Amino acid sequence: MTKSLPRSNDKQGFLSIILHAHLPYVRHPEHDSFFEENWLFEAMTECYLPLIGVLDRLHSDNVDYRLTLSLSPTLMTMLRDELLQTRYLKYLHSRLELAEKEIIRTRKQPEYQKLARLYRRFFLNALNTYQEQYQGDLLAAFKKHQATGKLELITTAATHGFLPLLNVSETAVRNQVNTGIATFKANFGHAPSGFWLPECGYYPGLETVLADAGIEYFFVDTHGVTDATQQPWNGVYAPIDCGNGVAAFARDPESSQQVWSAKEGYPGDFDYREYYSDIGFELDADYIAPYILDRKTRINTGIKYHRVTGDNLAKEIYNPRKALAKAYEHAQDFIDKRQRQIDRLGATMDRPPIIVAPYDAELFGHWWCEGTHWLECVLRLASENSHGVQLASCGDYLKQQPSAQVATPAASTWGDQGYSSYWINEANDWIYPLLHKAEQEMEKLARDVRGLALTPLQTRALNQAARSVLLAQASDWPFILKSGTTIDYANKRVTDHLARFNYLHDSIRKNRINERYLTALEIMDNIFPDIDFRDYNPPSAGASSKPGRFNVR
Amino acid sequence: MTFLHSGYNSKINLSAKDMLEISQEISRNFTPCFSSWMPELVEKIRLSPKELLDIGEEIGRDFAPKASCNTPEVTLLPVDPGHLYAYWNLGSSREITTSDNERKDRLTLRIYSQPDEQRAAVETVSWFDVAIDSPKTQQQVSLPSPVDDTAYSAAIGKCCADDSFIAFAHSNIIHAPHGATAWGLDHQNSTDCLSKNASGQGISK
Repeated sequence: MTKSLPRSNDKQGFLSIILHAHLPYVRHPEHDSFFEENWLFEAMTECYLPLIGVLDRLHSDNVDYRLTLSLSPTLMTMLRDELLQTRYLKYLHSRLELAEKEIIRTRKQPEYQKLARLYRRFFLNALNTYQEQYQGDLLAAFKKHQATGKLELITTAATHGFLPLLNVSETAVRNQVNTGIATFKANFGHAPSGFWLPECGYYPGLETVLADAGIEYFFVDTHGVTDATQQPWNGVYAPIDCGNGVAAFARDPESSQQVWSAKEGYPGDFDYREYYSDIGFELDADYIAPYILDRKTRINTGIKYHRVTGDNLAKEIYNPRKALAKAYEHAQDFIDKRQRQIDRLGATMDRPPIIVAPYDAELFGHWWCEGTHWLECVLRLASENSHGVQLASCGDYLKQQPSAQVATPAASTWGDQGYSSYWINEANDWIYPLLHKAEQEMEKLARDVRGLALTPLQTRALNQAARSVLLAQASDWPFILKSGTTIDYANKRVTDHLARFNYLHDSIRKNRINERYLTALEIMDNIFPDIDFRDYNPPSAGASSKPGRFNVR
Repeated sequence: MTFLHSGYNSKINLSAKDMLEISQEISRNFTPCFSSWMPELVEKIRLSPKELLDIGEEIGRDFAPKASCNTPEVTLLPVDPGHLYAYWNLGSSREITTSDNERKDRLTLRIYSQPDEQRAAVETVSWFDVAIDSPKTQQQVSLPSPVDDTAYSAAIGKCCADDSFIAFAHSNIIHAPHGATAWGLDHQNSTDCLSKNASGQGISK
């Protein structure tokens, strides 16, 4: 649903805030509990539920906001997964129990106890919103707000595959894009008009795949538009038409810097909560053991008592009231600066400028605890100001300003150095020959069985092989291998998915499909239920559609 | 109505109904199948977490991915305006020889560049060589002078003592990104930024 924009005048301009929510597929039914599933549970507790709280409050206060949220297919699938929903409740109850214990432990430290009580309220509120209000279905919450016309939902590639490096095969890119859109449709009942390119990874020609999938717009980093084939008349403050009717919006560097930069950005303010001060690392090992990994390895618990404080200073206790007041100040500053930008731009542009401000959703609430409050203030302030900066989605803007300058964006990403070097380097380059080989074999398999009658078991095996290829292609694995955080896990995920593909490929070719093993893989990698391996058969393959003999070897 | 076989003077007359039945029977029984063996579907397979884990580990162990292939190949990937990435495989029959006679033949990655606007003129293609001295099968390639809109391709082969080049395989054609804008510090993943959680990664790692 789109909202009509206010009639623009010379002094008006638009601000489009886009949150991109993504986590890799971290679901492990083969273990009773699994550390990496906590990535999802932390994000649900600290980011997605607080964001829903913001949207609920804005709705009940009749605030006329506009926000775009990109939900990745892996995240959507995990949010609707019964196993993970059950495990999440267990996680929340464990956090609640820890907060209760903290209230007792800090009874002689009133300042700390006040915070412990706040954490208990926070976890109770999360539990209430999750269980009572939305019955464990966070997508239903987003869908409800989308129906108001104020929240625009879009999606991204199936497993967040880094498309510029998968483009050795256009079929690989098409399947990432189309499976992502199909997952969105299955969850929300309609196709998205916008598409988030994983890591903003664009290469010339990608717009054709997006147009074929019915996409109207996507995002690139600043230099994707400033280095386009034609000098952009309006800089990054108006979209460009890629020549096929698909629009590319570029990230505004100024609004980005204010939120992302560790030096100049808001989240580094000394009054904000310190992310790295967590009782999981600070309290006695015996005391914290039930809430950390295997009772031994220290991890974040989400309970943090200190503020950023300043460089080389002992961390001081966190004051939530002061921090929230600072978030309001920063929201006001953000809006003021956008207004000044719009005033400046409006004088030279032939149309109202649009400032595109995309962020990772997980920044808000998780890394930057006060981020969700800041966002709520920004949305409220912008909606109050009918003569200044107006909130809009990029879809809204395209409807009001249909004609755009035609140019092809430049190959670009929003990663370090602006191109692909973060996803291909000495730390992760080994994955690409393997990924490309699996893709090639998947396509050959799909081609070889074209026109042949397959048993249900063979069809299941072929579909599962396609799932394995997609899961191996996630951009998360090369990212983690480069960043050096959980290397062993990323390494195992790439090799496991490729091994599963190899196993299925071998079983299919030899026609020795073991249903028990296949079922195990379907249980472990139960994503994309409607996948069709035939989509790996590129239309240009030129193979005859006439039935024929098939040599299985 | 009956039909007569057109090939020779058969005495067999077939009605439309006969034709349909024969056609359906053939279709039913002889549609090309992936296999004539139709495994029975097990009604419900129940697997414990331990069984899932064992199966996952067995497959991971026995089907670990390997990059090798039988035919020589080379693939190029774009990295940034100054770099490409190449990986190659010499195939099972082409090991790097170390005999005295062939020691002078060096394994070489030849990179061809061709400005787009001159694509029609094949003779404008230029190239440079990257000597491959180690047993590695992939490496980053620095572009001597990046030019916008240049198409690149590669060949893996050997440079012989007489300066001839014998190509084992040719690559795909790619374009390196072109960049006119100095890249700033506002980007995601920059070391100057917050602990970057590119698209959600980094949650509690």
